[in-house]
Amino acid sequence: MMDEAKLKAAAGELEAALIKELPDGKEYDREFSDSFHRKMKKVIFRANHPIVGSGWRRAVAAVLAITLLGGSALIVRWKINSGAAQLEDPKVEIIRIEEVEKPKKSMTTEGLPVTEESAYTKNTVALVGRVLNPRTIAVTYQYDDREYTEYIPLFDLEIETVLYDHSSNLPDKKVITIGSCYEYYTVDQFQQIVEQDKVYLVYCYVLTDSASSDENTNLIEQDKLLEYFDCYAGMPNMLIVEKESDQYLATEFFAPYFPGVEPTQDKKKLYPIPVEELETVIKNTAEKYAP
Amino acid sequence: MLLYLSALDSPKEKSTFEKIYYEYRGMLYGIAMSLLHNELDAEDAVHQTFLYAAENMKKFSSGVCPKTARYLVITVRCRATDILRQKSQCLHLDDAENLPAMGQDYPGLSPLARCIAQLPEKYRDALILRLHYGFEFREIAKLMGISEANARKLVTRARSMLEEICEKEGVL
Repeated sequence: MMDEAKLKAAAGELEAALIKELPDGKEYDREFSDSFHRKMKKVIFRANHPIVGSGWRRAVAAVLAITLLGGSALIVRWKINSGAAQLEDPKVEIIRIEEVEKPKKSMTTEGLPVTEESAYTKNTVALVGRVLNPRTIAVTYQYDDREYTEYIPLFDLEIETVLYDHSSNLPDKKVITIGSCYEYYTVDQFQQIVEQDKVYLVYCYVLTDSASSDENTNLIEQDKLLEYFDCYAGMPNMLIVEKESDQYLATEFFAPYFPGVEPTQDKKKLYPIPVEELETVIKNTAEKYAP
Repeated sequence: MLLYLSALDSPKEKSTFEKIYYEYRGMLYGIAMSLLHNELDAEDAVHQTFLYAAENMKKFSSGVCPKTARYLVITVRCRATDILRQKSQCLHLDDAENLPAMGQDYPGLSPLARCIAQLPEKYRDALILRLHYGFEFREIAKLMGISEANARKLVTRARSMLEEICEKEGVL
């Protein structure tokens, strides 16, 4: 058995020698890739704002969608009132927005946990409708003398039913445009969730509500936004559900409401639930959270 | 992304984390490159290292200093080894863990310290984190990107390997 004190002293001695051997960073100085710079700026922000919570992140998602779809040469001023961050007057200039055929993968970060409260919170609606024209736009913007391009998935939804409406501004249109915040999902992942001509149940935020909400964001210059975008799906992997004839293929978010239902055996593990049963649950739950 | 970037736009003094980042990113990249020989993988290892630091800023509160540098070096080596292991089917866990320590010749050290220096790098680092820096096993696990159980195993194995080395070298 070794003497613990001697061992500690020896470890300290070796550590001091190892420190002396550390290489000088300057000899490795290099130009890191754009992708690395972008990832690191997020990490730096996280380090500098350690109390950032999911509310803040949702606010970011909201502002992001709005910002990116706001049109060319849009300078956005915004502010987050969560207490975790006070960010104002960023100088980010969007140069162009264009549709693209084969998007590159956008970056992925971890998804937010979905709770009942977050799903049914104010400014949300649940719509059932047919998906038309799924597409991707490329948004090119300039920041800090660099040009970046990001990709955002969009689709039109031909509305069949509004299951609940916690917004006062859902557009009175038969077809609305829904997008998703690329921060949480890659374009590829999103395109696997929605397919042309299939019918889906979609939980989404109404853009005008999110844009004017004092709780999360305070945006200006939003007058052009509705030309591009009506709603956005903040958590598409959980809150977009395919409708297949007389049943929904529900995600695990809905599983607790139907304890007897077993998931499918395939990779997706979806819960087949009769249309009427799921819609009743959604309507009843929505009542609990009605604004 | 856009807004995260924007948040950094205001002119202000660099935070402790930023100082650490700008001071050590080159060095960490060099270490990662020496293991991975691939620029993108090396950047990935550096990114993951700073992600760990961002999430564990208490450990880095002393800012730019030798201790911080060593924590980062150990972390980047572990992250690089993980990437290497993921990419190479033929590199098994034991191979990765047994990468030899670099620069094993330390003439000025005591015999016991020289025995520790002979341990494979990962074992040596785990033992130093535990003995010298007083890390809990869960803290070692986080830094090295392994489970707490594996961190315990690593330190235990390091101790028994050290005993063997000491016996062979006639130390103690």
